[in-house]
Amino acid sequence: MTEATDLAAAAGSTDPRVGLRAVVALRRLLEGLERLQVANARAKGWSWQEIADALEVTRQGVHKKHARLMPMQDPREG
Amino acid sequence: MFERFTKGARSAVIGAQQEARELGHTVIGTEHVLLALTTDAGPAEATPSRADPRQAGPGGDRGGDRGDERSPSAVAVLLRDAGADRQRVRAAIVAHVGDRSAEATALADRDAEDAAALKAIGIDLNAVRAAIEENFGAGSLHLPQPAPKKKGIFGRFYAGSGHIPFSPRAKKVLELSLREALRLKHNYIAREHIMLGILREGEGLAALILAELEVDTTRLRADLTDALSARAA
Repeated sequence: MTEATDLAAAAGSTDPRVGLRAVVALRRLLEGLERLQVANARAKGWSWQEIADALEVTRQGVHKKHARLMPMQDPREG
Repeated sequence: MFERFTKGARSAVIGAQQEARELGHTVIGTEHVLLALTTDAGPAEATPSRADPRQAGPGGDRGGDRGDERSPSAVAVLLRDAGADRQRVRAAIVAHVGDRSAEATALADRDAEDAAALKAIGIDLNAVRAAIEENFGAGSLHLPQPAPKKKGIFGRFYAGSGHIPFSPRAKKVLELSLREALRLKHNYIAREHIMLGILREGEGLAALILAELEVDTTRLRADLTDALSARAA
């Protein structure tokens, strides 16, 4: 079986395990992307409010989720 | 700053990352830098990465091209003489931080599983990763662990992907290596400077391990400086 037909078969699978596993993988990808982009925005000097607006969430929400995890400011670029 | 690093120094930095990965650690700490410095010749030393002559200025290649890696690392010899050989340092790290190499393998499996699951709904994780890395640099996309079994501060968010970040202290060590080079009026950064950086930093796990191994740091610092001036002469 070629890879393309494999894909088609898997995409149309009604097996919950396959579908739910994809959801988990997507969520991890989403979280990873969000973290990367928030860090990038912060590095570019965006305020938490601006980031929150762009993400369509509250400022408190985005701050609570990310502030602790943001990389420390590079002292060489102070 | 990195362009001033000699080949040996670069291989030590890359080696630190490899040491961390092999131990299954999610952050490169000062201890991994120390461990890399106790190694004579890392596999990374085969990769050609000359010091950039434009940056280094006249004589800047000195440290990179001469005796820095064909001979066994002078730093490793000094460390061994001081009582900090590779085995003892590694054992001390495992005693402090633990050996998570088995967990590291499991995390890599999980990433592979993710890629397969995403492929099933038409998302090529490798393509996504490639697109991101094009703009943000290699290893910039970390897939967080949704259900951390251990609530490590770092383990949740960095695990999985190939890239391992440097701890603030390890970064500090690298910065201090530059300062040591400047202090000695060298326009390159060799392994010795990194070791001096570790000694100067003095607070990280590397410093603690050196203290536990009863390394005479004053003497080691003098020996390193001597080795550097002997080479420069």
